[in-house]
Amino acid sequence: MIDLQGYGPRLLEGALVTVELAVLSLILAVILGLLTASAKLSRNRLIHGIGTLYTTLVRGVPDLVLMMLLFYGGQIGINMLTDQLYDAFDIDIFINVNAFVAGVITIGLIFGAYMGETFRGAFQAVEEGQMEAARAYGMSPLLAFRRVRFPLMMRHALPGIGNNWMVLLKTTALVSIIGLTDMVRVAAEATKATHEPFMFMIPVALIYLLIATLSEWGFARLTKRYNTGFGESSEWNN
Amino acid sequence: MSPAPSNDAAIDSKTGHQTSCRFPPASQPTHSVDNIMATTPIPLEAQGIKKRFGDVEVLKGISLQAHKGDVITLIGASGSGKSTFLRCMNLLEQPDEGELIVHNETINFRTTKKGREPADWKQVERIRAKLSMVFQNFNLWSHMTLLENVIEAPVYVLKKPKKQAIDEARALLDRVGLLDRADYFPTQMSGGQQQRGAIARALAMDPEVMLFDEPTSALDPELVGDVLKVMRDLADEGRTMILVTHEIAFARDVSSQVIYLHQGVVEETGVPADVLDNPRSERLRQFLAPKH
Repeated sequence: MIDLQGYGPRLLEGALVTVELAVLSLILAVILGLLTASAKLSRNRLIHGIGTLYTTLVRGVPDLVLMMLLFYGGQIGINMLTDQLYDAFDIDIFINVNAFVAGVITIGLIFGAYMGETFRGAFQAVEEGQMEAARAYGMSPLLAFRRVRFPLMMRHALPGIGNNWMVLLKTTALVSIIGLTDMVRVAAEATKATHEPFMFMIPVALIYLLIATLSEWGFARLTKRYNTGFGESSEWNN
Repeated sequence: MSPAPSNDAAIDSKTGHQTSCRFPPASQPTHSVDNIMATTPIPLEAQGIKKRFGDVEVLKGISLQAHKGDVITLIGASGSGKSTFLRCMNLLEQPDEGELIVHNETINFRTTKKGREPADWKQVERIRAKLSMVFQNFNLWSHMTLLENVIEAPVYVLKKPKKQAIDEARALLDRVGLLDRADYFPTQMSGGQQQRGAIARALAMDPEVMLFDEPTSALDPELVGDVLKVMRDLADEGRTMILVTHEIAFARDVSSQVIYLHQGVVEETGVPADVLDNPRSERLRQFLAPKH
């Protein structure tokens, strides 16, 4: 039988870190994605420019490099800031960049750019007449977005979001490099100690697979929900 | 009490537009009594509306007054500006010049670098909720059932209790003959059913004025009749309606006033018997002539 040699509980803790990291990053990515899509569709050239710069930058730099830049660069930046605070105001504080927070921010930032592209296409796929009707019936821009644009665009955005989510989930494995104890790192440590890579890496692979399978089921349900009203018109009759 | 025609002239001199198309007061006795107009607000009044798209001036100063119960029909060739004029009334298009007064409330505009725009969008939202629009392509929200479409704006814009909104919506759907389709999605209904559903959605707002933008133009000919029947009922019960249409026979039957637009200008206006049966201008005669 599988003998995890006492690493079982730590592996599960690591799995929990992976899931938390992935979910929080996804939430950040969706928010950034919506903002980016709005920015890129804005007629204001400055806002449009910021959106374009963001997606170009993030999509053109490797995830790992970005993560290192944010983690180490972020620490250096904060240190410089706190040093200045000390020099100028005699305020002595020390802020340690938390690997988990850095991980969420980096992954959220990376996938926010991809989500932005997904949402932009979805925004544009909503028929203008649908929003016009919302406006004509006195809806405020926010209400019209919430009740009309968002549910309609989700139909077009969900396949892209699902795809991004799968990639995002696996990207979380990178955080083990900046010192976060996710399940990949636990497995790597256990492998070093026991020299039995398969004993630990196969369970890790299976856990990823399990999360991915559950997600697919979840996305299938969401897709069904946002497809209501667009199904085959088999019930069509006069 | 001043006679109505001079009152008409006063409006014209104030706004400087000779294109005023007020209903001729002589044929609607109530409107000639000024103190009645003072106590009953006019549901909708547009004065000297101008609109340009780029270099093209689409509307060159058009006015109208919709009194309670009026059915005003805008006719004209495509490109005459009739739909744009209608869309200016609920500010789906922003008029470059002119005033809009809905139920005694004048819409405030301000001029920015980009042009003229409403000064207070909250006001615009409030006004729009009083002017229900029925679109050429129905524009029912496709992710909602018919019932959900009808209760949407009453619940989320007018903040009506959901239960009350549902009861009222069912009564309206019954009225347009679609109660059995309440739980259908728009894609599951024919164009005629969708448009009748859209009319129910408009009625659910209990609007001051209903705006119809070519409501039957996208329908198969055999489905037009049902929609017109519903609209005729609304006219008969005294709903104030402004309507852009190509259905001349229908316009003749239901309108209290017909406005013929040509290239952004009111070319002729009056009661249907005058405008449609005895057109003065050659252009309108040609427009009304059978096409085949």
